[in-house]
Amino acid sequence: MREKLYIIAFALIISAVASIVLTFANSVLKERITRNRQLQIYTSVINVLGIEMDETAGFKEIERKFKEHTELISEEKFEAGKVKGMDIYRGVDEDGNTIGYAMKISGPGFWGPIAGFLAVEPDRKTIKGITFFQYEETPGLGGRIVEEEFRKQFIGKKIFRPDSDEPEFKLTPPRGRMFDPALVAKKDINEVDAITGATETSSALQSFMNRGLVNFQRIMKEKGLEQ
Amino acid sequence: MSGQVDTAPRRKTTGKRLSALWIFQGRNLEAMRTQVWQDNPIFRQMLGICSALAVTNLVLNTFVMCAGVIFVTSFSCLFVSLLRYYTPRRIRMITQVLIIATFVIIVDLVLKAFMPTVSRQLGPYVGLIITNCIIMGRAESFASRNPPGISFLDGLGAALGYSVVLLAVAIVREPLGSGTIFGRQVLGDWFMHWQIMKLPPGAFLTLGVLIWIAKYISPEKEEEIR
Repeated sequence: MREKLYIIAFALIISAVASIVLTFANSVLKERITRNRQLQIYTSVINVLGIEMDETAGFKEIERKFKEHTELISEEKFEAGKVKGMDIYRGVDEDGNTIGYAMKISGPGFWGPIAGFLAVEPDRKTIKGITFFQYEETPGLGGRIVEEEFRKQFIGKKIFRPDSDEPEFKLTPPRGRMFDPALVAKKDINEVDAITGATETSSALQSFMNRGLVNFQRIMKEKGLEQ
Repeated sequence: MSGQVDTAPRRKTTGKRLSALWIFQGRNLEAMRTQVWQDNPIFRQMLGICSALAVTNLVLNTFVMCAGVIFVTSFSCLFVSLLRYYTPRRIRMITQVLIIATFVIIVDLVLKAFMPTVSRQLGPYVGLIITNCIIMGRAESFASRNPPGISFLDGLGAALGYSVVLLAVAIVREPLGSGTIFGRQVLGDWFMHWQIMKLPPGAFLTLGVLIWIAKYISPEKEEEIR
């Protein structure tokens, strides 16, 4: 009996100590971690919209640039545990002209959630860029979604099939050397190379990207924004 | 025996004094050195291979990962050892995992706060330090029955042994796979990147060759089969 009580007491005490230590560490570092996350979003949106940015810029400067050149036109909301809507930023240049839209796309990846931004030109059909700020994919395999070679092939592709106006985008097996610009250009207008060896990541990306594109079209229509 | 809580057997401690030269006393240095070379966790015991294959494609990432493992292993061993007389035998493994996990989460938080890019690139592997058999192995087989000082050094040695091998693999992989070292270009554009070196199989090949070399330099004494 005494032994059982001792075991329980020991387990309780050591768990309590561990929790206190971790809570303390978390509260000390939380502010920095949140700021880093914020910064990631700022730089992702700025990069994906192709706004020029000094690479050595500090937090303050990046924040200023972000506020100056982007406008949040739609926001995701949590309703009854579900995400409704999506974050869409309109990018503007110095004179206030639209230079593109950046939408937040996210979904489950192979190991954990993937989140990033997809930007389209003001025509809302041509892809301007794609970037990821959160992922836990296998380094060297699914983790390659953040590599420039992979992301570059999206630029200039359309989000529609050639003969339809329902958004659809595909990641298909490479036809030779992976991410070769010449070979990617020969593919359909709405197709890019998937990553060999990371089928799960590629198909996950394809599915939540399409979901995002459909949402984007719907929201833009609802807002009655002229093309 | 009834009513007695089953913990690690206590030994009588002789009144040893701590001195600055403590590290050179007794088996202390020996324990560490054995772990780094003779009993190297990767070369000799084939432990921790998973992360050795996964994070060694860039030297910087490997470096950060190794620093994390060194911190977690040495301090986990220290605390497992400090608590060895109070830890009930029945839940000792859970206690060890709890201690290890606490340190790993601290490392993860610190990386997220101060090195967000590296943290993102390492992905799940920082969290997976918890399941690294090297740490559990040292905690269970050494720290749970030895004094804190030597346990700390034993853990430190094991983690250093792990780090030396990982860095060696990374230093081979990064130039061949990406033409860089620490992100700096070392091989010109003429160099055709070995795609395989960026992927886990590249690490597997590199590690195999390194183990071969290590065994050639100091062959293991194989026990006679009777």
